[in-house]
Amino acid sequence: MFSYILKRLGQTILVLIGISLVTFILLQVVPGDPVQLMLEKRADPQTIAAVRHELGLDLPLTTQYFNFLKNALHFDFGVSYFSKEPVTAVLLRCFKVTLKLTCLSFIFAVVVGITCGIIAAIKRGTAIDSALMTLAMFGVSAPSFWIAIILQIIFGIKLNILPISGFDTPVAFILPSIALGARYAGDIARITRTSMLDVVKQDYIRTARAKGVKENLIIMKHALKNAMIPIITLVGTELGCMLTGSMLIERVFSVPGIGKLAVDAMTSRDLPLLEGTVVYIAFVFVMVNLIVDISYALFDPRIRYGKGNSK
Amino acid sequence: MSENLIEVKDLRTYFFIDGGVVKAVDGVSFNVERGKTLGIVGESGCGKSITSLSIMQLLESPPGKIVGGEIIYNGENLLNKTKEEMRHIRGNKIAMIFQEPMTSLNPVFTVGQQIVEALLIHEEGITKEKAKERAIEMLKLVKIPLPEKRFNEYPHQLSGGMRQRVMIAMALSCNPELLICDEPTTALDVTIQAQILELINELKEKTGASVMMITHDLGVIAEIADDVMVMYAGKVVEQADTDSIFEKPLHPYTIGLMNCIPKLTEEVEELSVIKGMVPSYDDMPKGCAFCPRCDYAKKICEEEMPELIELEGRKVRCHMYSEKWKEEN
Repeated sequence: MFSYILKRLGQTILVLIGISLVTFILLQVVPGDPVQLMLEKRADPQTIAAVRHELGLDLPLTTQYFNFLKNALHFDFGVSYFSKEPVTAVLLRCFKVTLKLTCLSFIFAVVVGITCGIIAAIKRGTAIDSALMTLAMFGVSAPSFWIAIILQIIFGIKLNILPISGFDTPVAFILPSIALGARYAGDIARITRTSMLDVVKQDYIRTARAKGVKENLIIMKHALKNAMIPIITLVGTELGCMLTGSMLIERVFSVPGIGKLAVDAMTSRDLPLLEGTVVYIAFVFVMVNLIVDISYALFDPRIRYGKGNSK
Repeated sequence: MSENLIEVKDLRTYFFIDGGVVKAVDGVSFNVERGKTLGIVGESGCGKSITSLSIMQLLESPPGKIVGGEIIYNGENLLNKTKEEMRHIRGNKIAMIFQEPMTSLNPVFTVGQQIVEALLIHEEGITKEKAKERAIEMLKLVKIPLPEKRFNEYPHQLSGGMRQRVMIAMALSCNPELLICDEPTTALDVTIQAQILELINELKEKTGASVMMITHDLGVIAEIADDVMVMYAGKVVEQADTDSIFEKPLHPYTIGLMNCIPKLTEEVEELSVIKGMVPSYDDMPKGCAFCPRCDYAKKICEEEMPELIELEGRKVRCHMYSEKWKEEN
């Protein structure tokens, strides 16, 4: 197990280098010069050249990239062209906000999704099943910004019980969390239902009944643990998506998280900030995937990693 | 005559599918005596497994439903019990082992946890430590080597035969009075089959439990059963003690089944078979269900369903043994 994790972490570094290289090349290819954007049209060529030199943009591309890599190894992604703040500090600040939002939407999505999925599976073919699955379908297909606006209208403006923007108080996070979590909850509910329906048909569930196990224990213990593998895969990927910020939701609710940061960095061609954000997003995805893979073994003993344990 | 542990009277279990009705078990009656083994034989789809699932009330409902009859256990009709009362009987008084040992154990729990669970449900006031001790004892009883080690292993780490032993250990852990075995050896190698049958026989002697052995293999019946019930298309076609059935089968279907067993003493080119197939529910003959496949069938067989006739202490459902038939010949 330990050697497996070590190997995966090694792969992570390769993935991060690859992604940073691709981002770096793409940023060179796309039109738009950060210096011109920064100085607008008033600047004369001398000033532009001076600023380019100052930012190190006049160096050969390979040198630029290796400098970036060298610094990145020390978690130094440079300073933002515009705010002059270190990129790591900006990332950390936005990460804290996104993390708070993610935790709440994640809990909302998992609790609501799994509960609805189990209930729909138990009540298969009934009106409750249809109602829950329609709701789930709605959650999946409705655009999150639309859900966000509807929630703002109902709870913020008509009922006036929840704030419609900001991130200062805990209650301010309720609406964004629901708006962000709705589609994930829908996804989780649907996969939970399918997975549970598949599991409850299995012979070992009949064995549990023949043994006299209580019906709720059969569902919550014998069936759910077996149904967890597809659910974890989905939940893991979704956790990755949430942690990397939602550009739309953060924009609608004016929450200064990672998603908003990425969009702002992109529009202003703030290269260090953008590089830092992309590397952060890639890192989060790779780590979440690793955690998901490790957690499989917790739920299913047939999955054991590393040498000598396979059978 | 010894006492009956369970009496099934006119049991009818139907499946309601796509507007049609499949009479999977149609008026089946039988008794299981205390300490005895009843063998139920028949081809796939004849209703033997549904009979056992009806006793356990483990039918998938809908579409399955017990529409009539009585299952008397210790003087009480199990069909009048509530779900909760039945749950206390299942695994405790009546236990069951299934055909597929590979898939009948939960893959995400250790075999120890699964046996302990049964004990914790049914044995009042038992501690976890005591339950673990009992589970290891049970593993020893079913002759699993290194029971302490196996206790902590998962089903996928055991072979098919070992898993069936675990199933038996689990089923017997609460000392049930009736053990229902639904084709317990079908999925196993021949040598392992013999070991498992021997084990069931041995444990039956030790615990005094009655056994209901469901199989399509007359070899298994010869090995283990005291009495035999032959089923065809949801109905009992012959009931007798094992010796009489093997000595002189009465029903043409039983005769056909016996002829299908290859004999070492005879040299034959081809193995004999019963021609045709079990009729499907939407194509059930008006008269005797076996009639289209029967070598002895006459006009009356096509028109009338024969009654179960008592004959020399045995029961057989065939016109051949009726007064009418004798008169005609």
